[in-house]
Amino acid sequence: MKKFLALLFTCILTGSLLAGCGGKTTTTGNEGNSGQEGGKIKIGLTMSSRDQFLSTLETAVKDAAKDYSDVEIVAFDAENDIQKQLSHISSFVSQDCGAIIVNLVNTDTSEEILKAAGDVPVVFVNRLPNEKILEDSSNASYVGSDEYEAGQLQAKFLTDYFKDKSDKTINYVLFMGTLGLQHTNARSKAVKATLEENGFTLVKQFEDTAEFDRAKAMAKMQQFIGTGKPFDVVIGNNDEMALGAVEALKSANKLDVPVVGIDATANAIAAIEAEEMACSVFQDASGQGAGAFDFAYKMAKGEEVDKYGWIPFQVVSLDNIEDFK
Amino acid sequence: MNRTSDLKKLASKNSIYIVLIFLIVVVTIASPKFLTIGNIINIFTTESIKGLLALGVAFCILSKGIDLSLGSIVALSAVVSASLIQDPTYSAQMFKGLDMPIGIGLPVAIIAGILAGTIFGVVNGALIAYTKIPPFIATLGSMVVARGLAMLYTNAYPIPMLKKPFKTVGQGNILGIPNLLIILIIFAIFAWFLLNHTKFGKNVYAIGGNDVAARVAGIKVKKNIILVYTWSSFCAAVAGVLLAARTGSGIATLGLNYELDAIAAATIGGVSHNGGVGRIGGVIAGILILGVVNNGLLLLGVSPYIQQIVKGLIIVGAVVFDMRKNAKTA
Repeated sequence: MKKFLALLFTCILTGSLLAGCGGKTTTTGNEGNSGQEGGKIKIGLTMSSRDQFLSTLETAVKDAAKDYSDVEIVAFDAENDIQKQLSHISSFVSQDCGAIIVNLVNTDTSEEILKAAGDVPVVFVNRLPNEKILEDSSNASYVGSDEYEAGQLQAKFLTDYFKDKSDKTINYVLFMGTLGLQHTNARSKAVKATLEENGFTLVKQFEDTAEFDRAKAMAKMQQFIGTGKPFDVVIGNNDEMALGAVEALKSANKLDVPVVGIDATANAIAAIEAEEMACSVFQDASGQGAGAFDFAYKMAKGEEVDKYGWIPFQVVSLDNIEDFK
Repeated sequence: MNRTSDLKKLASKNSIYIVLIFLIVVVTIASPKFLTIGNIINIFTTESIKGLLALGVAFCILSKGIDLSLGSIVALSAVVSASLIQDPTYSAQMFKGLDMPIGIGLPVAIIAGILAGTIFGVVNGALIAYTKIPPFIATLGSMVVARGLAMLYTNAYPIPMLKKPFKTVGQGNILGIPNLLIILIIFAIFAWFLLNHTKFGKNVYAIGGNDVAARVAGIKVKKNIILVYTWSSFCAAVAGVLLAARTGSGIATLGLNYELDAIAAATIGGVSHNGGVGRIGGVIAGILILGVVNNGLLLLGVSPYIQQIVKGLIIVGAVVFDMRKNAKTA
């Protein structure tokens, strides 16, 4: 009996290991056969996690690789664990990858990532590493969008929206993303600074973090509405928080106040169409993925690339909603 | 006849090692990249942080308890030690202008980090020993508190730009062997010594086996329980300092869910949740099994979702197997 159990147990293990091989999703090639290195360039990709946006980005990298017969993408998910990401890098190096695409779990670990990568060129994507370290490194580059621009575009839309406002004062509510992240800071700073540059006086009615989370934003918005303070606009560092605020506004019958977000997720597009949200800002995940692959492929072949590959943001509102569905 | 039953005994006693070797063989056949020096070192460095936690939590499980606060203690120790050893040239330094000479600053940062975490173990142990609340609840509470303290201390901002000598502690190596691995080996030997050659170790087994009998036999149960949780949080605190050094920054979200992996490793390694049964060798094998599975599935390019399912199956399978074994011998 014992022996039988031991046997069963090891069978389960082997079975699952081998079944895993069958579930291979990471190799891309024209005929889709599994990773035989027949003179192929391997490009490693380590994602910080897999939400909708990042999955789109990852798919774009793989799709871009399909146009070349001599490339294979090896994609891992670090599940938001810095240690895992570092071990992915070491693993790529020992698998002789020609280049590595990194979507940083934490932007402060860029130095350690580069150290682990050694001589293998690194393309950071979507999350900007420490810029000094990036610029000092001879074989690292960045592909992404300028987060500051996202906030600027929100402000540009609001400037238009409030152009007939007589007193040029805006009472604002701002939901910030997770504190301490670079894009939280850039988006918040940009939207405020640009509105002020455009001649508005900003009055802070409520400014707090909801950690990019819909439920947290909704709870805080409900509490804020309960205070009865006046507000002209709700600004979110991302769509999820903007949608959370929309939920709270719905139950308080205050949907006439414009709510702006960033990301242009499917939910946000639907909310803009239903005129619950005023606008969002589209961050081009596919563009970033394709751009990152392009950089990595060139670097693996030893070609020169720019330090930065900027992929522009776009405003999404009722006027151009058809382009984003 | 006798020989075969001896062999059987030996096999069932060391089944965990057989499973480990078997796994290594399977992964090696499946991926020739597996048995390279670089990859093996990579497995060890990746698993050593959780390995320290597993060595700590093994004592709790042996005494019929559990410690859920370890992952949060990792974060707290990491941010405390990181905050004391930041590069003063960094503009957003947490303590503006703090610049201890490295000879003082390095030990201060390391000791402060270890102390901050270890205090939690003393509190955990005292709570469990004196109020009789279940260890699961007590450490669930301190898990939330420690994470909150780490967040409060840093205001949820990361603490990057640590001085080089500190980072070397976690990133360096001696003769090609990573420091992390050396520290794990030292801790494993020490844990083995504690369990097998000290009165404390005997007491832990006794308490886990039957705490009433242990008390009747004159063992100071309360004192030993406090020691057990102090040890586990000490392991986690050291792991936290090392993690800050390895990643070059202290972040309040470090070590999220690490305690679960540590518990899984100890469980796979044959440490019984009914208390009083388990060996340090098994814990190390448990860590390595998880490491090999993680790394093997990674090299084979298996989707991470399947990886999680496999890990879950292994944990449950190991316990089922283990219970059958113990039921047979009991």
